[in-house]
Amino acid sequence: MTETVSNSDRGSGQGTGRGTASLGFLGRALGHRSFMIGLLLTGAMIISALVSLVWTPHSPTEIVIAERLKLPSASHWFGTDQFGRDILSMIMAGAQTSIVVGLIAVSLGAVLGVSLGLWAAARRGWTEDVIMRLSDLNLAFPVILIAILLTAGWGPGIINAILALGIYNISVFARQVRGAGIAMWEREFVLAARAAGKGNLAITIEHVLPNIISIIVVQATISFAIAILAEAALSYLGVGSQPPNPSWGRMLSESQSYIFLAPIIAVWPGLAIVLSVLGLNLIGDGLRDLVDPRLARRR
Amino acid sequence: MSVFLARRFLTFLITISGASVIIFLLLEVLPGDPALTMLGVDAPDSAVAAIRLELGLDRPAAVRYVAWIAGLFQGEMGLSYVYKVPVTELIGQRLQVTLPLAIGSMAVATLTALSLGIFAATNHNRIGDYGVMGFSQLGLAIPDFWFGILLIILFAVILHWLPSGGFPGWDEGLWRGVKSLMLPVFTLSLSLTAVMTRVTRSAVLEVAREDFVRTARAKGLSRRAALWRHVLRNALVPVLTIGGVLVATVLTGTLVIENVFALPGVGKLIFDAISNRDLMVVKNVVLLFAAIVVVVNFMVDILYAMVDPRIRIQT
Amino acid sequence: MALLSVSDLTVELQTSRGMAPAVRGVTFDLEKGGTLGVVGESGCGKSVTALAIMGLLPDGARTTGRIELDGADLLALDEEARCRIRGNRIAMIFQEPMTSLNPVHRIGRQIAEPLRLHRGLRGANARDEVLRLLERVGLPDPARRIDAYPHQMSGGQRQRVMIAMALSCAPDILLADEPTTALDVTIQGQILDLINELVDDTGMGLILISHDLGVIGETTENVAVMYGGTVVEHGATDRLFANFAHPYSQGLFAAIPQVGAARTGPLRTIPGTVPELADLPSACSFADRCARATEICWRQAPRMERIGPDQRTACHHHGETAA
Repeated sequence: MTETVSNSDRGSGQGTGRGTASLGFLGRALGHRSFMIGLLLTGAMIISALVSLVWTPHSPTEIVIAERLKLPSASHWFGTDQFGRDILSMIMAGAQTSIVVGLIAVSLGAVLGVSLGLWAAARRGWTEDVIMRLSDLNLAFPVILIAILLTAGWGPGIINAILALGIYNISVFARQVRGAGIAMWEREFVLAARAAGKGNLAITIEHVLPNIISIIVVQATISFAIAILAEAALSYLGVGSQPPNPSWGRMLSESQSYIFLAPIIAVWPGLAIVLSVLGLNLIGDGLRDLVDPRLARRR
Repeated sequence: MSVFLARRFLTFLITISGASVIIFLLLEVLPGDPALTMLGVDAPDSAVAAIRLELGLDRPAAVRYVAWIAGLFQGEMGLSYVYKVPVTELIGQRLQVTLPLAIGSMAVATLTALSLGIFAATNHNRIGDYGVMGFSQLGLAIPDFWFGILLIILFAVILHWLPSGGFPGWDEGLWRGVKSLMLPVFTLSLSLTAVMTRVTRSAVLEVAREDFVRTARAKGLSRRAALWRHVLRNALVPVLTIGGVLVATVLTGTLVIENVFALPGVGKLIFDAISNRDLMVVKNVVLLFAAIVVVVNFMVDILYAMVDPRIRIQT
Repeated sequence: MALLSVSDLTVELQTSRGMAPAVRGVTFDLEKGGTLGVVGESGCGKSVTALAIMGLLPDGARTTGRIELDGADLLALDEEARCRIRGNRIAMIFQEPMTSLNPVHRIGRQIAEPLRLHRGLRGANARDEVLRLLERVGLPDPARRIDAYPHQMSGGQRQRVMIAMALSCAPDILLADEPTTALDVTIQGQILDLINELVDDTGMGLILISHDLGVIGETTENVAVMYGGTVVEHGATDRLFANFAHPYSQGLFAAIPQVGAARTGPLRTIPGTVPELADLPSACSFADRCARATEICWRQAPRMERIGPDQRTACHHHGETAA
C-alpha cells in the first residue's frame, strides 16, 4: 500500500473549484470561473436569437442601397453590408439559424445514437458488432461529404446541413454511449439487478442510462458547438442555409467579395461564431469537471 | 499479429465497400432518375434521352454500380460530363494542390502541437500551461475559414506580403507555389493544432503519473530523460488516435480552405461539380475522400500495434 | 559511521486541504550490510520515507531533517547529483511489478538502462551483463526472456526483473517497498528468499517496507514500527518479537494469523482506522485507538525512550501489560 498523496491536481487549471467537495453542484458551478463565462456567452447567443424573433434594430433583410458598406455608427452599431442591410440585425437573426440547426441535428444524433449505443452495450455479441461496423462506415463520411452527397442528389438547402450533422452525430453518440454503457454493465449494482431477474431493457433504463446521462449531456454540449461551426462552414460553401435566410456562414462568404473595400464586415459574423462556440465548449468542459472530478483530473 | 491484421483488413474491406454502396444510393438511386438530377426536371426529353445513352443511365442501377466498381479496379473513373475528360485526370491535376495543402497542414500542426503539448504538460498548472490551454480553447472555437479571411485581410490587404488567393501552378516555380500555399496551410493547421495540443498535453500528464515513470526516475534518469525515453512513446497512442481522426478533418478542411483562397484543388473541383451537377465527378471524389479516411484509420490501427506491443495480442 | 543515517526527517505533502505532514521526525540508522524492516498500516508514512530517501517525492513536497549517505547529506545535493546516486548507490523496487515496468520497452532494454547511465555499458557488454543479472535473479531461460515485453511475463517474473534492474549497479542500499504484496502467496516466499540471498551474497543494505509484520520478522535484523508518520518502536527484530512494548506493535503482532493455531473467534484486529494526515492529533497519534490511553496521552506526545538493549519505544504506558 503505497501512500500516493498526489499533489492536488486542479483540473486543466481553468479556475476549477478547489476543496469545494462539500458544496452542492450549484455552489461549485458558481465558483467555476470558465463554466460561468461559458454560460454567459451561450446565454447572450440565446437571448439575441430570442429577441430577434420580435425585435431587431433594423430589418435583417431590408435592402437599402444608399446605406451600403457603412462603417459602424450610432444607427448601425456594426455597420452595413453590400446591400445596406444592418449587420447587427443580421447577426442577431443569424443566431436563430445556428441554434435551430444545432438543436435539431444534435437531438437527432443523440436520440438515435444513444439508443444504438445502449442497445450495443446491453446485447453485446453480433448486435454490437453490426452497430460498431455501421458506425465505422458512418465515420468514413465527415459532415461535409454527407452534405455534398445530399446537395448533389437533391439540390442545396438548410435541411442538408441538418441531416448531414444529425447523421454524423449518430455514430459520435453511439460510440461514446456504448463504451460508457459497457463499463456500467460490469458494475456490481447491475450484476445485482441481473441476479434479481431484471430484463435488459429494465436494467438499461433504471441503472445504465441514469449513470451515463452526464456523459451524454457533456457530449451534447460539445456536439452543439461543433454543429455551429459546421453549419457556418456549410453555409459558407453554399451547401447549407440559403438566402435570404440570415446565416453567419453565408454572411462571411458574401463579405469576402468586399474584403478590399470593407474588411470590417468580415469581422462581426466570425466573432459571433467564435463567442458562441467558445461559450458552449467552456460549458462542456466545465460540466465535465463538475459532474466528475476524476475525469477532470485525467484531462 | 497476423490474426489482428487479418481482422483489421476485413473491417477495412467491409467499410470501403459499404461506403461505395452508400454513395451510389445517395447520388444515383434515391433522388430518382440521375439523368433528371443532372439536367433538371424541366430539361427537354431529347437531351435526357441523349445523356441516358451517353452515360449508360438506361441500364438498371445494379448493373451501373457493378460497372462503376469494375472500372475502379482498372483505374477508370469514367468521363466528367462537363469537362469531357477522364475524372482520374481531373483529380490527378487537382491533387497537386490539395495534397501539399493537407500534408503541409498536418505536418505543421503535428510539430507545433507536440511541442506545445509537451511544454504545457511539463509546466503543469503554471502560467505557460494556462497560456497554451487558452490558445487551444480559442483555436477550437475559431472557424478555419474565418481565420483564413482574417489572415488575408492582414497579410494581403493590409501588409501586401502574400497573395490573397489563387495558385500559379508548380510550373511557375517552387517558391511562388509555396508562397501561395503558406496562408492556406497556416489556416488549416490552426484547429488541428488546437485539438492535438490538448490531447498531447493530457496524454503526457497521464503517462507521467504512471508507476513505470517513477521506476525510471529510481534508476537515476533525470526528469527530462524519463520524459523522452519513457513518457513520450506511451503518450503517443492517444496522439496517434486523434491524428487518425484528424485526417478526416484535414481532408474536409481542404475543401473549405481551397474555397477561401480560390485554390484549384479537389475541393474547388467538387463544388464546381455540384453547381454543374457533374455526378461522375462528385461520386468518385467523395469515394476517394471516404477511402482515404478509411485507409488512414486502418494504418493507424497498425501503427498502434507497432507502438504498443500489448495491442498485438488483443485482437 | 552508519552507511545511511536518517535523522529527524519530516515530510509535508501538498493535499487538496493544504500541506499535511506525512512523516514527522523519523530517525534511524542503517549500517553497511544491515537490514531494517519498516512496518505499519498503509498511510503511516513508510513509503513516503522511502521516497524521501530516493528523492522522488511528489511535486510540492517539503522535506526537512537530514538523510546522510556515508556522512553526506542527500537533501543538500542538487538534482543532478541525486540522479547519480539513484539506481547506482541506492536502488528501489516497488509494490506493483505489473505497472512498474514500461509496457512498450523490452525488459532487456529496461534493465540495461541503469548500466548505460551509471556504468557506461553499451551494446553487447550491456547485454551480457543483463543476461548475467537475469540469471542471478533466477529468471528461467534468460536468453529468450531478455527480449520479452513485460506483458508476456507473470507477476513473479516481473518482480525478478525489477530486482535485476535494482541490482544492476551493485547498490549499497536496496529499498524494497512492499515487494511481495501484489504477488501470489507461493511466489511471495520465493521473492523474499531471493532478496535475502542477494543481501547475504552482495553485502548490500536492505530497507524492507511491509504492512506484514510476519514478513519483516523473517527477513530483517532490525525493525521500525511506524504509526501516524512517526516511528513508535524500533530495535532488534528478536528483541521486539520477544516483547513488543508499544500497544500498536502489540496489536500488529497479535493480528498476525498463526498457522496451525486453533482459530477461536474472529481474527484479532486493531479497532479504528488510520488517521487522515491532516487530522493528526497534537498528542500521541495512536491515543484514539489505544485501549490503554489515559489523560496524558491526549495532552502530550510521548518521546522515544530506550527501554532495554536494542529496543526503543514511544509510549507513556510502555511498561504496562496489554489491557
